[in-house]
Amino acid sequence: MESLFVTGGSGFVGRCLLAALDPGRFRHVHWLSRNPAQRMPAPAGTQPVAGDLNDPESYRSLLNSNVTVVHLAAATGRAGPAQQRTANVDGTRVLLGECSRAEVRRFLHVSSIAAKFPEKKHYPYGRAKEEGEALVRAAGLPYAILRPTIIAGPGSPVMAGLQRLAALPLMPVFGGGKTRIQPIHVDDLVQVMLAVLAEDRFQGETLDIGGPQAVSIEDFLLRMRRLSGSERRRVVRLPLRPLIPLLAAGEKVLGQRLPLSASQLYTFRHDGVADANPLTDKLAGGFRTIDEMIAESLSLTVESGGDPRLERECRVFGRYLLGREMNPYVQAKYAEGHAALAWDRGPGFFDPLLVAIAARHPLTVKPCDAYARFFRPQGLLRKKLVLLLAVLELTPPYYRSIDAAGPGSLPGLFVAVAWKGFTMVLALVPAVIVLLPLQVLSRITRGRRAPESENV
Amino acid sequence: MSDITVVGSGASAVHFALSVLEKGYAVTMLDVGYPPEEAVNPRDTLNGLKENLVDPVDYFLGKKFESLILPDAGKEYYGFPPSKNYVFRAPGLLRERSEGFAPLFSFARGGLAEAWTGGAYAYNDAELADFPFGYDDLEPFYSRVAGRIGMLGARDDLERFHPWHANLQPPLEFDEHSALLYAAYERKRERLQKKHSCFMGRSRLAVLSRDMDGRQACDYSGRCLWGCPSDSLYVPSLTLKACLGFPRFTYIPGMLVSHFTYGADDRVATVTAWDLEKGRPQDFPVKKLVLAAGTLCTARIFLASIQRRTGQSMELSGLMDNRQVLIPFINLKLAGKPFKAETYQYHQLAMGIETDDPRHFVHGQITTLKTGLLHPIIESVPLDLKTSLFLSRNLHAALGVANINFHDDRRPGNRVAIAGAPDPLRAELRIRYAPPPGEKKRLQGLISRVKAILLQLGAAVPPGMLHVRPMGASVHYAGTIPMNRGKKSLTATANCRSHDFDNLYFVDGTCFPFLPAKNLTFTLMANAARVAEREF
Ligand SMILES: Cc1cc2nc3c(=O)[nH]c(=O)nc-3n(C[C@H](O)[C@H](O)[C@H](O)COP(=O)(O)OP(=O)(O)OC[C@H]3O[C@@H](n4cnc5c(N)ncnc54)[C@H](O)[C@@H]3O)c2cc1C
Ligand code: SF4
Repeated sequence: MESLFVTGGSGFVGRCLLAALDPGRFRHVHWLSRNPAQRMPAPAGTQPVAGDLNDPESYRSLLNSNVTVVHLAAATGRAGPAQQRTANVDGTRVLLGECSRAEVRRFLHVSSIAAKFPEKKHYPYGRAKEEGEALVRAAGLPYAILRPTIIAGPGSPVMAGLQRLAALPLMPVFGGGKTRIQPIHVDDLVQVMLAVLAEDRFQGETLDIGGPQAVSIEDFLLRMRRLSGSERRRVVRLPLRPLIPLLAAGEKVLGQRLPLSASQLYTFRHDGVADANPLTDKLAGGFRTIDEMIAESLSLTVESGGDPRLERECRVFGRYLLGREMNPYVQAKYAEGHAALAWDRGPGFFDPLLVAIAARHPLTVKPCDAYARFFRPQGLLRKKLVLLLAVLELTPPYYRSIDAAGPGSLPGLFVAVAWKGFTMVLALVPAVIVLLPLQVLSRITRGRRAPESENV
Repeated sequence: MSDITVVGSGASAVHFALSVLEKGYAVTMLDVGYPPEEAVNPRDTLNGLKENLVDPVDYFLGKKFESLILPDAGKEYYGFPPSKNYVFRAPGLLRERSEGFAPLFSFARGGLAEAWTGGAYAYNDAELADFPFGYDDLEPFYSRVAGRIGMLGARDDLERFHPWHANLQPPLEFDEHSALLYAAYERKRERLQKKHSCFMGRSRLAVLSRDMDGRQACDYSGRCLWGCPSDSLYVPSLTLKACLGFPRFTYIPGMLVSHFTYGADDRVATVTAWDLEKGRPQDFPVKKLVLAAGTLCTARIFLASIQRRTGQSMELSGLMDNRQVLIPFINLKLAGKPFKAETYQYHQLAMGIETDDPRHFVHGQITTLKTGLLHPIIESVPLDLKTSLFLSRNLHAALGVANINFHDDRRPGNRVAIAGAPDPLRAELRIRYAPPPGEKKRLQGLISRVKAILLQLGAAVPPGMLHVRPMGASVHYAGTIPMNRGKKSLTATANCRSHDFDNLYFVDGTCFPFLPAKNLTFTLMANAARVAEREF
């Protein structure tokens, strides 16, 4: 009985592969992970191995002529060029060296559609993947190379990135937007891998693996937007050609600190579609459609509460706090927070009234907020504002402006705070005159109202 | 039947178990043992998680927004994140009532220290004066445990309080704020020591600065609070994993131990656990029973066993915990400066304040706030939220909290009892605690002193933000069945064997006769290893 050795076992694809395997078919299933194995509970019948591709000592003893290797480990996305090389080229070379020495039975290499992009000047990931493939071909082992397109599914980093773009109020599309993509669901990719193993397709083929449909990236983003319930179709087109070298130059100075990387833009630059092959032709009938993939990705996020009152509140409060529009994700989370926390209206009529006044306009929030801080510190308005603030400090791009420091010098800060304190007092005075009597009245009359439990 | 049956898998239990396993004993461990969830995106930094997760709010605040800190939540500056929910999950069966005490329990695989902040300090001779042994007896075990868990520290002024032992790795790199505070201390050392009896140095931490046993050195990902994805920050489940490598070790999770039975010879015969999955009790015959369920849960099992057999409602006195005071501060030198998210998140600096009695030394840990969530701080500032947000943005790099800890001693009024139903599972655990007389005055004096010290270090304490945490919040529980040189009921021998039952041991905080100001878990682990060595 053969054994299986999987690199990158705790990664996005590795986890799904291990979960789908029938361990009974193998003598051992070992999976290598740099992160100590107990961070991911080992799927039944599989054994984690703590180690690193570049540290052959950590896995040498597991390789022999009875072992099939599935090579998934890779540095992806926003890793820097040096890291990409160490993991994707050097790591593959070291692994192949060990596999050749041990004369392993078969080698399944999971590469990427990016390896066949015609130009990869500013795309170290694509270059590293191409080099990795060449190493596999030269190693003299029975091998198969799979080049998946964008991989969707729970935890897919690329889908998360696209979803964030689609959620922006003004959706950016880089270049003409006509570049085509053909996402595949991770579970379907795993089915392909299992078929390669079962059918013993290790005759040195390189197979593109894509989903059942190819669409333009702009269409894809708009579909995402539509399925998330947003009516807006506003798109801003950004020039791709100058942006890529510009970002690449910026990265040289700033490393990976920019919000967007040159590498990420390659999805907009070259078609990421798969050439047909008999294996995917056979299996594609059962593959998930694009809409199914998007729906899953969105349902993993949240469905918008769809309450127009909460949406309005969220927008107004968001503009007050950060001076920016709130994207559908923030709005949905704001609504979801209300559903989860089920605050009641508080005693009397005052709290809902204060919220209603505040939510009229960003300018009315300030006096209401200042008033609430001193006269209703634990009331409904502050709860809502704190909920929104907590959502914003966790959500890109908003968290970056919350983290960004301002004036830089202590005197500058003093002046700014003094000014803001002054405006707070200015806002507070009329608020007290108008709101304090209402709050008192609400207290006096609260006994006459039935207890309120309606969610607000 | 195993040679030894251990209840619990917390810091105390696993170090005891590993030590006896290394000696060749067969060990069965009964535990509720809720497991953790898989670490998400282990290679991401904290901000990487915000960028890459599909639903970052779900990860950071939880499905039910349980980690959101609302204005009515008191003055805690951080909540436990959803990824640590399993640590505080409790079986629905248990009931408790407390007066003057806010207890925390854990039924997790690894116990409470799965969520700890890694402060690990050895007790010195003065602090061990009430214990039936001194530092020299404990030192080999501190060193052994330090070698197991991976610890770091530096030889500095704090050595006068925290004895030096083997197996300490060099410290982590300071974050910018801690470096600034420490530089100020070095400049004003003499004055601070003379005027305020204040000494400062590096925290001793159960964190790796060098790779060890397949665990990676801290790479400053800033995710400590949410669970270190590279196992650089030690948690007891790592030692449990080491135990699982022994063929003579049997770990049985899903078992809520309710009581033990004993015969007329006062020897424990069986231990009974409620099988949480099957919903029925199960008996395990035992040769030697070691309770390590955490001081309060151990007390519950002990009292329930006696009550079930005798019908007598008993109580244990002498419960201790460290009072903690949180003193937020602002370092004006860093106002308006950007902060770096990729740093170690918990305290890197510690402080010791000498008092007339060396046993009453005051222990402080200084955390410079980096990647924690800001909303609890923003809402606590007495300004409208927008202004407060502006202020916090600009003071983020400058914020810190001094966590000041005070010693506690055993006082008869501080009790743990069980009452109500005769069924040991349904009986209610009752806890009563009152602080020592004159505590308020003592705290006030020390708080003023800490404020003056912070000012010397260039940090100001903003008004209205100080927080005296309720008793129970430090989660350093001890003292209910103390070690005692003489044979007396409801006490234990120097090796933590019950004076009431010949084959019953307590290896958690239960047997501590005194609670110094410094965090106790390192001593829990060392003492558990000591008991294993000396008694087995
Ligand atoms: C946020 C936080 C930060 C902390 N920081 C520090 C720090 O920096 N330094 C420090 O020294 N300490 C710290 N502590 C305290 C430290 O976590 C505890 O002192 C330590 O965990 C106690 O270990 P224990 O093994 O005695 O008990 P516990 O950790 O309580 O473990 C109890 C074990 O017993 C099991 N159990 C309980 N009852 C039963 C039962 N009836 N049947 C079966 N199993 C049972 C549980 O499943 C668990 O495995 C911190 C705690 C918290 C919560
Ligand atoms: S200890 Fe904290 S900073 Fe260091 S690696 Fe772990 S989570 Fe990251």
